[in-house]
This record gives sequence, C-alpha cells and structure tokens, in this order.
Amino acid sequence: MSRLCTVLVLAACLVASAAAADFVVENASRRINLKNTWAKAIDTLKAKNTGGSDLSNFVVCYPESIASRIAVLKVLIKKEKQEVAPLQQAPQGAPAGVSCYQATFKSTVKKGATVDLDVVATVTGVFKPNPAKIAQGEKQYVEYYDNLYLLSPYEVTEQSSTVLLPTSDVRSFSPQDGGSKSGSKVSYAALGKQGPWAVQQLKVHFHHDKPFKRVNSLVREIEVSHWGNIYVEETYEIQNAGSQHTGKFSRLTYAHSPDGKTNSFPDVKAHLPAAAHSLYYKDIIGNISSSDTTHTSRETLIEVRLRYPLMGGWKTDFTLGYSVPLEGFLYRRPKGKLRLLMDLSTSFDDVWVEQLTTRVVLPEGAKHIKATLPFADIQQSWDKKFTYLDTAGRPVLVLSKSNVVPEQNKPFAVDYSFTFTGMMREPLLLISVFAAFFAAVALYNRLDFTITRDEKWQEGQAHDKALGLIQSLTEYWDREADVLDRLVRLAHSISNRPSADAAPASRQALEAELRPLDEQSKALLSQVEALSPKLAAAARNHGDKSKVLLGRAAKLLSDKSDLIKKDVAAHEASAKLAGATRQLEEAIREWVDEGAKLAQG
Amino acid sequence: MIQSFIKRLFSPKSQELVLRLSILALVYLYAFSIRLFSVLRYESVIHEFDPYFNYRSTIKLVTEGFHEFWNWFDSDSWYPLGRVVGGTVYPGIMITAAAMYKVLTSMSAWVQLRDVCVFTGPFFAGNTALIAYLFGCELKDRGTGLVAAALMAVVPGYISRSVAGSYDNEAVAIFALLATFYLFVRSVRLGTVSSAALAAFAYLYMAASWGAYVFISNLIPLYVLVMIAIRRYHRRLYVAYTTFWAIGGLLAMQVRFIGSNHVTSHELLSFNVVWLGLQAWELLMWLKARTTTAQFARAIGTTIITAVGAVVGGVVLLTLTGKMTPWTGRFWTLLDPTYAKKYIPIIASVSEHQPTTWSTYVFDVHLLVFGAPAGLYFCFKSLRDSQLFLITFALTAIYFSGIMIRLMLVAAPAFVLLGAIAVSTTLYTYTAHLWEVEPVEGDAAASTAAAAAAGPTPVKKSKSKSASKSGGFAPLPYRRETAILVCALVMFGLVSYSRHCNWVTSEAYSSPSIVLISGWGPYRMVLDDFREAYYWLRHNTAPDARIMSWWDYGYQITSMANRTVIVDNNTWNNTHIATVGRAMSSNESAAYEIMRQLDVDYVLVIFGGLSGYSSDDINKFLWMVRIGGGVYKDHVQEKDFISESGEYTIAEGATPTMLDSLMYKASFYDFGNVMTEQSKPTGWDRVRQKEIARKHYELDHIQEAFTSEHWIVRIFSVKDLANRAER
Repeated sequence: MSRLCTVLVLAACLVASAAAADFVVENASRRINLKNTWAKAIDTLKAKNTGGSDLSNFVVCYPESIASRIAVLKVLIKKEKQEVAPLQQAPQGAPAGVSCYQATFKSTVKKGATVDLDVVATVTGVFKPNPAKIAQGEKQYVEYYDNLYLLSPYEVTEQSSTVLLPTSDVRSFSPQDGGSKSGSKVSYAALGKQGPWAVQQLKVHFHHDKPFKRVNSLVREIEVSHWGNIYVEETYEIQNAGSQHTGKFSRLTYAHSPDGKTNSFPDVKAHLPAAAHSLYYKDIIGNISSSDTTHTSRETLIEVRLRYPLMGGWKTDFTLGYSVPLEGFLYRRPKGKLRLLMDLSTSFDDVWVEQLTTRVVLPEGAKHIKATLPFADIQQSWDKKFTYLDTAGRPVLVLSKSNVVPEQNKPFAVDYSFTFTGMMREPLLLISVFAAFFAAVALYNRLDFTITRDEKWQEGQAHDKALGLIQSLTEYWDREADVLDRLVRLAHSISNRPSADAAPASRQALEAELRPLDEQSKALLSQVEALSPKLAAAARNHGDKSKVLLGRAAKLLSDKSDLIKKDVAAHEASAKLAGATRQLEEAIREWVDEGAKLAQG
Repeated sequence: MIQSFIKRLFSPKSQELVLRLSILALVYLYAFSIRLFSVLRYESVIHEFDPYFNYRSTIKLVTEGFHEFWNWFDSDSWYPLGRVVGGTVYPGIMITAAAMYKVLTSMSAWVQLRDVCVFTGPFFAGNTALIAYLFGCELKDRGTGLVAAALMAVVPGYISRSVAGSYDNEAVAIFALLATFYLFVRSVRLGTVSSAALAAFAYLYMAASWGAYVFISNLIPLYVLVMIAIRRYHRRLYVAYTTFWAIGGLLAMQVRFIGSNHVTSHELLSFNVVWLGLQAWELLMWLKARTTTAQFARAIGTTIITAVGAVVGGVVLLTLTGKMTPWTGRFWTLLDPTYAKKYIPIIASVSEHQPTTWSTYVFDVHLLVFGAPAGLYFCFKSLRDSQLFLITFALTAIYFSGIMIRLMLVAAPAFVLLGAIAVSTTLYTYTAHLWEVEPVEGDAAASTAAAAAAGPTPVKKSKSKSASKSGGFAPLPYRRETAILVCALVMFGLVSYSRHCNWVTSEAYSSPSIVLISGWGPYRMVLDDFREAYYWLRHNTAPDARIMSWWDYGYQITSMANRTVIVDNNTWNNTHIATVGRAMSSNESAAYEIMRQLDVDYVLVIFGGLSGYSSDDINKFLWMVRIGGGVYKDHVQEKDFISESGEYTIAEGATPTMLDSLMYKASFYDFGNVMTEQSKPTGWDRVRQKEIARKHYELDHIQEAFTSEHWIVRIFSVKDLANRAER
C-alpha cells in the first residue's frame, strides 16, 4: 500500500500540470465514513465549468486499491442519479495506479455555470488489520488508506476531508499536519488549493469494534412453480474477515466475559418477506438446531445462529431456504406474459458478498425469457436443471455479480411466457406412465411366453408340489391315527356295564371328530389330484385304509362291550381280546409309517 | 361381461385377495412410518457411529464410481497406516443406497444422497415385513404370513437398527437373512434348482452386507444334519443344499472381504464339510442300489472310517500349515461368552457386545417372549420340513442372542415367526368356536351326540370319566365363552405389543445420538455440540490436520469433519488403538511424545461434566487404560487409576496418575472455574456427581483450540516444539 502511494506521489509530481481543465472544483468536502464494516466515501463537490463549451461529462478518480473494491459508485446532482461508467484508460496526465469513472449528466452544464455534485463510493474490504493476529479478548485495530486530497483531474480550489470512525480509540493518523482528532472523528479542515492529481497518502489506524462479516460466496436459487410456490434456497460461505484469531479459544472466557467477543460474531440476521414459510436452515451435515424467527406483518425476521461463533478468520457455511407464495412476486402482464419480481441478493444485515450467483429456475417450457436487471455489471448466462418429472429440463437464468453490499439488494424482473398446457404437462406425464404400466401388466397377464413345454419337467414339478401337499395331508392322517388310538384305548378302558353302555355314544363322538378331518383331507386330495393323479390315487388308497382300521377298532369296541355285558370279568375280556388289540395297534402304527413314507416320495 | 366381472370382483376369492393385499400394504406402511419418529422428533440425519462410515463410503461410491470404491485405500483414517477400505468392507448397504440414488436421479427426482441413506432402513424394514409374510406362508398358511408380517413390521429388536437414519449394515442384512432362509426353505420343499439358486443370490446379498452371513452358512448345514438325524433326509434337500452350496459359495467369494475365506476359514468348515458328507452319502446310496447287502456291509465300515479320517486329517493339516484360518476371537466369544473379557478387551468394551439381560428380551420382543415357546410347541406338534428349519433357526438364534445384545437382531425374526405361528394357530382354533351354535341348556353342557345316546345321569358320569381318560374327546363346556376369552386375550396381547413397540420406538430407539434433545415445548434444550465441533474442524483446521480421539468418534470425524483420524470404529489394529489409549492415559509430556510421533495436530475429547452427558470419555477411560495396558504393560497399569479405596474416581482421593493423565487434563481444563449447579462448589462434575480433585492447572504441550457450547466436545491443538532456548 505504502509503495503504491510513493509511486502515486512521484507520478503526480511529474504530471501535475498536464490535466484537462474543463471544470474547476471550487469546493470539495470529503467525508469518509468508516463506522461500518465497509467504507463509504461521500465527496460533496461544487464544480464550475471554466471551459469553452457546455459540458456533460465529469470524471471522478480513486486510487486503484480503492477502485478495485468499490461496490457502489453514485454521482448525484440534487439527489438525482447520473449515469456512471468506468473509463478504460485514465485521462491524460493521471499518475499510475489511478482508476477513473466518467459521469454523464442528464442535462449539460452551461459554460461558466456551477454544479453541485455528490459522489458516493461504497468500498468493501479495505480495512487492513494491524496487528494481523489477535488473541481472544484483544481489541481489533485496523488501518485505512486513502488519498488525503480529492483525487481529481481538475484543479481544486478549496477542500476539506473528514474521517468518521467507529470508536474514539485511534492509534495514529497521518499526515499529522493539518489534521485534528476530536472524539471519533479525524478531520483536515482546510487543505487549501491544489492542482490536478494532488496526491498524499492518508492513513488512519484505529480500533474497529464491529465484526467483519464477509460472505465469500452466496448462491441463491429461486425456483418458480406455477402450482403456487416459489422456493428460495441460499447457500452461504461466511467468514470473519477481521483480525485473525490466534492462540487458544477459551469457551469459559467466551461465555463469561462480554469482552471475549470483541471481533467475533455468533449470528447474522436476515429480513425475509412476510409471506415466507417452510423455512429451513442446515448445512451438509444436517440441520442447525439454533435459530429464531419472528413474524411481523412486514417481514419475517430470522436470527441465524451459526454452528459456532466466528472468531477472526474462522469461517463456516450453511444453507437457508424458504418458500413464498406466487402472490406478490409473480405478476400477469399483457399478452399472456408473466413477470417475476425478486430481490437480487441476500437480506442479511451488515454483511457484504464477495461473489453472488443468483439462479432463477423457471418452469419447464417457459419461453421468451428476458431479465431486467438493476445493475450493469451483472453477468448473465444460461443453465438447465432437471428436477421431478422433467424431460427437457428447466431453463435457468444465472446472474452473477461480485462485491455486493446490502444496499444493492434491489429487485430484478424476469419476463417470460408460460402456457397452461405447459403446466399440465407433468401431471399428464405421470398419468400416462401409470396407465402404460397398468396396460403392460394387463397385457402381460394375457400373454403366454412359454417357448416349449417340457412335459417331464412339469411332471416332476407337479410331483414335487404334490409331495408337499401330501406332507400336509400326513398331519390329518396323524390326527386320524390319534382318534383310532383313542378308540382302542376306549375299548381297553371298558370295565363295567355302565361304561359299556356309554361306549357307543363315545365312539360316535370320536367318529364325529373324524368327519371334519375327512373333509379337509378331501380338499387337499383334490388339489393333489390336479397335480399328480398317481400320487393322489396312492394317497386316497392310503386314506381309505383308515376306514378299514376304523371298522376294526369299532369291532374291537363292540366285542369288548359285549363281553362285559355278558358279565365276563374285565381282565378276562381284555386277555381274550389282547391279540386283536395288539394287531390293531400295530396296524395303526404301520399305517402311520406308510403315510410318512408316502410323503417322502 | 360386466356382470361376470362384477361377480368376479365380489367373489370370496377376490375379496380375500383385496383384503390380504390391503393388509400387506398397511403393514408395509406401518413398518415404514413407525421408523420415522427419529425424523419427526429430530431430523433427517445419519445416526450414531457406524452409519457415518457407511454414509461416507456411499458418497465415495456415488461420486467416484464403483471401481474407485472397490480399490479404495483410505488414507484419512488409521494415520499413518491407512485402511484398505475396498477390501475390508461389506459393501451391500452402500451399493444398495447408491443404486437407489442413481435410479431416483435418473428419473430426475431431486433427492439428496443423505436422504436416500436415511430412508434406506425404513424401506428395507417394509421389505423385511413382506419377506416375513412369505416365510409365514411357507411355514404354515397365509394367515400366519399376515401375522408374521405385522409382527415383523414393528418388532423393537429390529427397529433398533432400522429407524430412519440408522444407515447400518443390519438394516438390509436382516432382510437378506430372512430372504435367504425363506428361499432355502422353499427350495427344500420344491426341490428345484431355481429356487435354491435364488436363495444363493439372497445369500450373496447377505454376505455382501453383514458379517453374520456366517450364521446362515452354519445354520443351513446344521439344519441338514438335523434332518438326517431325524430321518427326514430326502432328495429335495440334497438338490437344495448342493445348489445353494455351489452357487452361494461362489457368489460369496466375490465379496473382497470374504474372498477365499469362504473355503479356508474354519468358520465355514461345516458349510463345506456337510456338502462333502452329502456327496459321500449319495455315493453310498448309489453303491447300495448296485451291490448286494453283504458286499455293501463289508465295504461301508472301512469307507466311512477312511473318509472321516481323511477329512479330519486334511483340515488339521491345512490348519497347521496355515492354509486354513482357525476361528477368530469374535467367533469364540459366541461359543464362550467369557472369552472376550479375558482376551480381547476391545470387543468387550463395546456396550452392544455385552450379554443380554432378561429385561432386554421383554423390551425388544415383548409379547413374543411368551409367543415363542407356544410357537415352538405348535411347530413340534405338526412338524414339517419348514417348521423344523424354524425350530433350528430359533433355538440357535435365541442362544446367540443371550450372549450379545447385538444378536437380538437375529433372534427377533425367529421370535416373530414363532410368535406368528402361536398367534395364528390359537386364533384359528378358537375363532372356529366363536360362531358355533351353542346347545340351549348351557349348564348340562352335554354334547349333542351324547345326549342322544342314553339317559341323563349315567351319561354325565361316563362322559366325565371317559373324558379324563381319553383326553377329552367330548366337547368341553363353555366353548364359545372360552373362545371369546382367548381371542380377547390374544387381541389384548397384540394391542399391548403394538403399543409397546410404538413407545419403545419413540422413546428409546429414535435418538440419533449426535443431537441430544431434552425437555418439551418451550423447555426444549438442544445440545448439538458434536456437529458444532466437527463442523469447526471441517472449516477451521488445515485440510490434512490429524485428529486423535478415542476410536468411538473416528467415523464421525472423518465423515463430518473431513479430517484424518488416528483410529476409528473399524478397530482392525488393536496396537494402534492401544497406542492412543496409552497416550490418553499418560502424563502430558509422555503423551506429547506419542502425539509427535503420530503427527497429531489436535486432540479431541468428549466431556459430559458440564452438560450431564454420561457417555463421555472419562466414563470410557478405564477401557482406554485396559486396552492400552493390554499392549503396553510396562507403561499403563489399571491399578494406577484406582484410588486407595478401590474406586475409579476423579474426585478427592484420585490417584496422581489419574490427575496427571492427558485425559483428565484435557477433559477438566478450565472446569475448576465453572459453577455447574447451584449450592455446589465449582468444578462439580454433573455426570459423576462429584467435585473434581484437581482444579487449577495449565497445559504445557497442548492448548484449548475449541470447546463446544455445552463443553461436550473439547478440542486441543498440539503445540509445536518450543524454540531452542538462546544461550
């Protein structure tokens, strides 16, 4: 910085006299406001046309170091903005390292007339921390460099410069001569008459008590859905651009002393539209659970608390999203056109944005897109975005601009045309896809894709399936066998006349239990029949054997009852029938085993 | 035509179909939505520890492609060793999520990979419920299937690993496990190659997803052996098993982490040996059919002895020459629950490897604790091949679940299937009586058949007699009332089961454990310290900074902070972990030396003393000491950390070694100046409920770099070497 200024001084000496002298600045009053985290230099000028003709151009110049960081440059006549454009080449005689802008007046300045001008420059990122690194709790000091005089191709008759500072804690200012400090103000009251390109470095080293919130990059995506919503998603990378934090970070100190927070900040505040809803605040690892919103009739105030407080040099990133309804943002225009009106930049307080990208995603099928932008230095490009059900992609208008301050958060307009059929496209697509799917399934069910029939294989398959069914059948057979066993035991248990009398009833009850089993196994058998008649026959044959066994059991029962009724002693009767009983029991066992074998194939 | 259509539409068959499908759809929806508590209560975020690694790998897979993922050498963990992730990972869940993500994005859906990962668990829970339905159908009938699906959808033992955000292997593995079992059982019934091949593919999915694939490849041989033992062996089983063995084995070997282990590891010995045995058996049967009984009897004895001898000898020889790998520690732990405690403290230190308590069973399967024995009874009562499989599965799974809490997950499906059989059989039996016509005279309660037979008095007597002898063949009295009562009881059980599941899910299993929330409404407190600190690391440290923390936080740091860690949850290198444990338990200068050697830039400790977060590093410290001491016996000894009164404490009476350790100094730095509770002295540790012993000290070699808002995460930067003093 200082080297640059030396060069400036040398160059200025060489070419001091050779400047265009159409205007003479009779009075220049410079007010450099450094209270905020960016500088705002307001030059109030009184210029007289001393040339030989009417003039409509006025040139304003800044040292390169400042010019490269100018976010806004306004030239006002009676609060009316004049057109300003940068000059590709500095005017003749300008010292090196100077950038100039040319203002074109709306009405010419007559020969010999004077004009009152306000030149306002908002400059970001011009504070140089010194010391560059501070420990937690230390004060942040920064340096500001500028030209003491009005840097101008014109002669200046009388001028003064005032620097407004955020605090009264000023370490140094130079030049010392002619300057005076009172409170939080350093002023150079009478700087006297100077020729064109008067150069002298101004340096102020002071305590800046505000944290420097710099957004390194901001990507805003505005997605318009004609179904009633506009989605806004903003992705920030934010950094504390003040003095670097060094040494330890003590949470205890941070929590307990207000001084511990000097140049750090834990949050940023945003003013969203009052209609904003469905807010979210997250980063790539999930939601950030700490934020506070207040709804008023005019705005939605959101206090975005960062994951951690940002000490000097620390940074973080996050995404803030919300939705607004179409009303108030999308307007109908003549000839079926639509106009989208949205803010260009962030609605955060006291941050400046280094690189802003605003993406406007219009519905698929939007045509004749044209943007009306508030600033000339916004670059436009096009992109495509595919989201749900898009086939051709949505047109995306990409606007990018660097170095943006909050006052530049102006609305911009995008005009486009979009028809009702375009809106119905996606539901229709969905309906047709489902219809096609159902039609395909319906068709598939009615077609036969078998190439050849392998009889043997099918038979084998059917056989296996039938075996599976027979395995279920064995369950019923087992239960039948159980009933048979109980019949045999019943026969064995008859020991006196009353029990012999009751025997037929009990037998009937047991046989009644068999009936549902029979029915169920019949149902299964018919299924087996369909698969393998051979196996079914075998199974049926096997099932029928149970009837025989049942007959034998019934006979045993009646024999026993008869014997008892003939007053034969119970044990004698049992002994008499022992052979038959054993045979029957064995037959039942065999029958069960046969069934199991049948099921095994 | 329309009439016939309407007739078909309202036929009982169609109605049954519609009813069944809608029940299944509801079950699916229920399974999915009950797991969303975590998203509603908290947010759509990846949970806990391991899921963060899976998430990170999925990102790698999606952004860099399969080839890069397969060959991934991760230099961001296990510094300076690194980890061959591609060869030591079960890639199933990552491939699943990546595939779902690709499909969704190719259909131009605007989804984030994180959300896909978060909802993988619930999605697969729904699929598992459907598989449970199919399995239930295979076991018994459709009714059982439906009950199984409904029980499976909400069984807490499974929910614990599949809530939204729990992006862990188990979420898909249980699906794969059940699918393999179902398909195998089906193939045993059908005896077709195709369904056995399908089972093999399900097995591949399981093998690619979770280490517990070994359970399948040991259970299925066991089932085969059981079938042989109870003489139920048939050709269909042979077809199913051999097909499954051949295709499943080949497929599983394609997973890099398994590779040839599938043949050479003892853990899969039974899988391969049973296959050999089956071949031998079939060969014998073939010979038997072609020889006379006498010839056969002569040959068989020697053949069997030689064959068994050859197999055993071969295995022993291969093991001794190192061609086969013996059982690992984790496997031994399953057979001997005390093994880990004795030999591998790192396995024992994990809470989910602790033995299961009874309360866990009630907590995790609730009603099914009672349903399962009943189900076993019903299975035994009508023993089919499929039910025998279930019995084998259930008994082994329940045994294993008793050893490790984590294996409750495997037991849960077994409980569900048994419970489903119990519930559906009971309901079948009793609902039949609900609409039965009751005899008019309720008190007499004589059956119609008996009443018709003879006079009242003797009939009554004989009836009661014969009933007691022949097992009650005559209908019992109050059948309808009993039926109503039983059905009501079952309904009550099911309702309380579902209420319990809801409650457990919402209260116990939905916390992502990286965000802590306490209180309700306006008193809600959110402790988001983990992410605060990790994000700080991500943005405010050098990109190649190396972080030393206890291994629990390794995955989270590499994923959320994107920084290199010394050790992580993979725990593949015990020595490295022990080194970190040693550093944590050494005094500052000794620790500094270790940290310099490991190029550590930051030390991260978890500290709950201020917030009351109880699973912090001080509570885990004893494990660090044990693991460190296990390797560095001369440097770290557990007794140095135990006070004279035999306590592990940080309060009055703590040992000097304890108070000097890096862990103590890092955790309690500055804490002596903090008042945590009213009417308590400064430095009151809210977790231990004690006043710390050493309060005011400075750190020599490290300095506080960041501490999160509630002090849960504390990060210290390791200072450079001091400049040499000038003379």
